[in-house]
Amino acid sequence: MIIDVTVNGVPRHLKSRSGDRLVDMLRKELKLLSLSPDCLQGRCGKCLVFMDGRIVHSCLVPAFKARATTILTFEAIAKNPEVKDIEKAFQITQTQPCPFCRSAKIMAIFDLLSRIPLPGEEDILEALDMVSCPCSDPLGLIQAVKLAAELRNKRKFSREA
Amino acid sequence: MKLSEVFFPQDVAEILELLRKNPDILLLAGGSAIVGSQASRTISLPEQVASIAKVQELRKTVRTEQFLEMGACTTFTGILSLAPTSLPEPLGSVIKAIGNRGLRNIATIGGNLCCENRFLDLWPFLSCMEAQVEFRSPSGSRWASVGHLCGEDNRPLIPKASILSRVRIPLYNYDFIYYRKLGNSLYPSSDSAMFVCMANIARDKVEDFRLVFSGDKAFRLKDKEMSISGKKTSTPRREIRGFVAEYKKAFEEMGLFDPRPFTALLEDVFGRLFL
Amino acid sequence: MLFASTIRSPFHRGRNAKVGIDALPKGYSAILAEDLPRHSLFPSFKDGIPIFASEQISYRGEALGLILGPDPGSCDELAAAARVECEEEEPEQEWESFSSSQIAYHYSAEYGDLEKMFVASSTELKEVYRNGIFDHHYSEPMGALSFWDKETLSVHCATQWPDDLRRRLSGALSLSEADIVVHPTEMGRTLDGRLWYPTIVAAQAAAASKISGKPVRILYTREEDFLHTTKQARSAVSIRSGSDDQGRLLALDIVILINIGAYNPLAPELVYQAASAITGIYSCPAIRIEAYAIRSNTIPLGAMGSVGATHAFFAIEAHMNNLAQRYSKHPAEIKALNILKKGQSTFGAPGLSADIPLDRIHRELQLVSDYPRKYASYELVKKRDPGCREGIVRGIALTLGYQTGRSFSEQSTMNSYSVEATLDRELKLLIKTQAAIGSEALKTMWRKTAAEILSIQEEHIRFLLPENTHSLPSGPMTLSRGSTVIQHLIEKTCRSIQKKRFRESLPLSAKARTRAPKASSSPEGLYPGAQLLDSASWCGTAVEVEIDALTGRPIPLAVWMVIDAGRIISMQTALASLRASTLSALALCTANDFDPASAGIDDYLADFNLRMRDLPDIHIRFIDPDRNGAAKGIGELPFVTIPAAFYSALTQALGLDPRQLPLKGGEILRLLEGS
Ligand code: FES
Ligand code: FES
Repeated sequence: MIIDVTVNGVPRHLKSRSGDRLVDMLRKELKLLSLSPDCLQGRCGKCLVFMDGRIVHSCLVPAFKARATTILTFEAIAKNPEVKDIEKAFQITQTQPCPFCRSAKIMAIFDLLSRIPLPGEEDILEALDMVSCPCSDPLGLIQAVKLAAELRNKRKFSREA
Repeated sequence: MKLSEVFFPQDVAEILELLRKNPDILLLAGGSAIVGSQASRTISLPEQVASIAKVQELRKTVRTEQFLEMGACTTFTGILSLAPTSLPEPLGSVIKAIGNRGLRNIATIGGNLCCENRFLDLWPFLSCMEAQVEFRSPSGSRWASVGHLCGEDNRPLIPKASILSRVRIPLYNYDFIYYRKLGNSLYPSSDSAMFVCMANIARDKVEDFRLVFSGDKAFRLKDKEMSISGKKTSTPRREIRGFVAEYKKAFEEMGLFDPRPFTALLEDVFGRLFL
Repeated sequence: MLFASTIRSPFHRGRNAKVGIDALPKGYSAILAEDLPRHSLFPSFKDGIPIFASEQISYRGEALGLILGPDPGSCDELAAAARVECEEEEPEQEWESFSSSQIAYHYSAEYGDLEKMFVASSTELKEVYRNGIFDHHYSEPMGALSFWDKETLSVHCATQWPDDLRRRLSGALSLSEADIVVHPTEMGRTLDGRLWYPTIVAAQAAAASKISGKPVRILYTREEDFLHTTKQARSAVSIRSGSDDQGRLLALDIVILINIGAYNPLAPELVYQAASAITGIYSCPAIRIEAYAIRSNTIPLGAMGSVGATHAFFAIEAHMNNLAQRYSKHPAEIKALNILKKGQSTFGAPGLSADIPLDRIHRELQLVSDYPRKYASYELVKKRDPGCREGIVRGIALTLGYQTGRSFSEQSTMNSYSVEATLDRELKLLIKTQAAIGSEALKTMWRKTAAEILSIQEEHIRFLLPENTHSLPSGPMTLSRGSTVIQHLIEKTCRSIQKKRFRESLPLSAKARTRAPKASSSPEGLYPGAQLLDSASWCGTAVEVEIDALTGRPIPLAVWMVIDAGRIISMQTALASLRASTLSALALCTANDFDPASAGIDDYLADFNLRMRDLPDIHIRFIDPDRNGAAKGIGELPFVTIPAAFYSALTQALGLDPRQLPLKGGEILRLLEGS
């Protein structure tokens, strides 16, 4: 079947079969390689996308459910200055994730900071629950997210000023 | 790959029409339970599937003085975005503890209640809260207690050829709420289960006592609940021990679960309720 | 590119497998054992290990062939539809009472007069300690991509041992090593789950690509990886000890059984590491060890973090706790009495010349964790409320352990590492080494080291895998090798460049390599411990645990670690790495034991039950981190010490010794009832 969907701002007509997961359709048809399906159970977060503005694990979404929706993947998000803040925070706190979950973590943090500009620890943990990664130092990550929020707010605030 | 025919009904009337033609059609709302229970690359689905998540009628929320009524396709995030005062305790915290944010953005209340192989987290609470569900079928619509989603074999019973369209939760706050999640995993797995007990305490009496234990099966004794409701909080220990023993016996006789954790929780909850 | 899905055996054991495949759709094809040269991939292992099984099926799920095609989902379905027949045989699942044909490797050693010391003992204690199967939870499921570029075979694969992969491929596919280029891809955290198994997957992809003439990609789903690839081995360790009236060890008679499942070419290494760990902490004048790697018809089992050491530390620490109970003493007291000290004897080292810091670690650990007070008060609570009716069930325990940067395998390549560094005119440093596949944390540490020595910027340092490692055999990248051995080599090369800089002009290069152990230091008949200790970093860990008396769920409350790992190059990186490993190690302690007969993806996912939010308080203290001298590895320390400490803390909380790990909530409730 053909799925009409807007991906990263471009209207698309994508081929898919009823049993395909959204993550696979996006990878296969559009070569969106930031998505690397792993657990297929909504735990690892390596398939996070924004669907109609809400972050979802695209392995849990049958491809056909994307019909008439707007999808944003890391490829589109990456251009945002917010992502630069997050990356800088990773760098400063020395918490750069390995490539497996880098985009997943950035997506989760991006979603968090766009909802809650000054997140508390509980908010941060809630966001990071979307990405289960075997090699993260939790304390370092929490620090990184706080710093990313700070950098973001500073940038926005100074520009507005 | 076995291909399925996928429909995108626009409203409930179209869903009912699809159900009339094929009572076995799969109604897929969030799909997280159905898709998430399959770890293979491709998802296996029945011959016909209707994607109903976008049907507006099934996403409406109405709040009156007595109850909160939600369309079955309301997502958990949708529920959490209601004003905190609109949500009877402890629904908010229970929903917040389900899965993770990504999952809550797609999982729906109807989907959580209609999982075929086990009772997911909401059912035992809604059962204690005496929530009602609306079923609509080509032949009409009816409201029933959420308890109807449990069959005689104590396993989930998902009505065929109809759609669970709305959930109505009485806006009634219980004084005593006790729940514990069991098992090794935060996500549903073979050993996970939920123990829920709710009651009111009025003039030193325990009223509206409810106790549900559910996992892949469910356990609730309505007659026992009735006999406990109305008891004084100062009921003699001997009598309380009698209730505990009766519960234990019934639980063991039904042989649904390993009785050990249930017993420990039972003793704890009765200890707290009856001083 | 073609995708490939694996046809798997539905039988646990059998001979002469036959695979029936219906006519395949256009564009799809199958590759079976009969299409390949009949070479074993690991001929060094008893009976060899095939690329695809055919004559002998060794476990359910073993690969019998591949379906190749343009769509991965369809390949999966076609592979699942293949009909497999064989002459089925009775599987050997029993391993604790094994037959001689099941022995894959046996090591035995004896030191001192065991019988005489048992006679002199006033107390004898014999127990068996069992450890379950755990998944590695590495960052990505197994996979490989292979293609031919003219006459050269390219293989992309996340392997900890690219050099060995090339050697194996060359043997099995009858190619010259020079014609194979291995590109190790990012690995993330591996916990030694990618030491040798990726070689099988890479060989399958390479063979398929050779036959089809197209690039071939195999990428397991997480479920497939969980169900069919290697895990931490199951073990049963029996310890019989004799001790004097104070609790001083006089004799240890130890039998270590490690179930390696269908096969594991590193069986000798597992056995050595376990044997040395079990006697590397406490001194005892007479020891006998019989250690076996036992085969059974289940998935291949093997290393986890510290190869075989975790099993050993778990068993010996549990035994010391039991001993303490027997003497009605604090476990810490009994341990302090027996800790290995400078000058004491152990196998192969009649008087230890090295200063082993265990005593100091043990003392400091008690202090920082407030162990004596907590231990005593939990004992008191238990006495007052034996059935735990008040719902507070807590325990605390401390354990000791080490991680080494050495291996004992007969393969000299296991201990060979090399580094070549070149500083160019723009002051950019290129480091060629196996370590190019190390973790980001390690690379950060190495960058820091090199930048400091050469006074250059960290951003100007790159790592690359040497193109011609076939001329220089190289060992596997593990946490300890990476941080201990390679760190040392990087320091050496950078120092030598720095020296030359004053005399010669840039660019400048320097090489350094470790020497393979001499033949005379072969471990056969020799206790390996003494050799290990020179490169070890030492650790003491205390864990405080609470059990939810209603659900049986164990909750780690706090972890304390006191570590002597030489110089700490980057405190921030070291702490981050230890915290991450602690979280993983604690998750293992509360995981479900993997049951090869009934495991499902739910069990795998349940293992992630310790989320970031569940991380307990972690207090880490390094002994003299600023000293001069070598830096040593630390990443494995949580894996070798936390399971033992967690378990012992549970033992105190429960008031009895379950003698097994892991423990599920249900079992804990049963034990609580009995206590
Ligand atoms: S692949 Fe979607 S969450 Fe893991
Ligand atoms: S997989 Fe997440 S940081 Fe490595």
